[in-house]
Amino acid sequence: MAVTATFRTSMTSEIPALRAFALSLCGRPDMADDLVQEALMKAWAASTSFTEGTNMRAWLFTILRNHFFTERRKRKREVQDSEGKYAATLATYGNQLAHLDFTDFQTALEKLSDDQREVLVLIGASGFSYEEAAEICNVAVGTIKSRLNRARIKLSELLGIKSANDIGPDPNDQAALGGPARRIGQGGFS
Amino acid sequence: MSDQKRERSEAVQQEVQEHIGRKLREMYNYVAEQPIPDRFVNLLDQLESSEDPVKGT
Repeated sequence: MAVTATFRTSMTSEIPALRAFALSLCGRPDMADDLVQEALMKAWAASTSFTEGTNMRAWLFTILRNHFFTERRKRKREVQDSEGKYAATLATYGNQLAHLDFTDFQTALEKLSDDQREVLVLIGASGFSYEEAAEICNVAVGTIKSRLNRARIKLSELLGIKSANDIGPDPNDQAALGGPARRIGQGGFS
Repeated sequence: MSDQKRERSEAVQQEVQEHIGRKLREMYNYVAEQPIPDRFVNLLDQLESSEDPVKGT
């Protein structure tokens, strides 16, 4: 079946968010856009597994992060390239970004584990619910909450502050919203 | 006294949390507000034109 115009339009409108997510994950602008490209190609090829009317952003994020982690596992043994590069390359993203005084923040963010950084970005910046983040990462909601908690504690320690529990919505509010999480198509991607 | 201390530390916590959240969103939004690079528009054009027209309809 051909990809519909609606599909293309809604995919296109998610590209800016995808780029932001990709950069948050890998910290390298060149690599981030390559990730976005791979994700778009995979999404296009798998367009029939997307149900119109469901959450396109979550669907695309799932594809992108699965691709990212697969590639990362593959390369981990070959190159250990993470040290210092995250902050260093993110700082070169643009004059404006460098100008906004993110240096300390980037350095701290870089020191989180990939899992922690991902959850922090999904909930603290992309605005996903715990349930959506759990679907995107393919883990239990409880895992998302504990990762987020560890990420907050570690980040606030790194930034020289004692505790931070309030990035993103309160877990209890989330639970109170209730209802089943929206289905996100995630079959067949690796 | 201890109540005062606790209130103050809660206020500090709140400030810290807001700071982290704000920084995170600023960074994220900065990228998300950039115009879509041509490479992605071209990519979608390419994907569209490479589709098999027979399968297509």
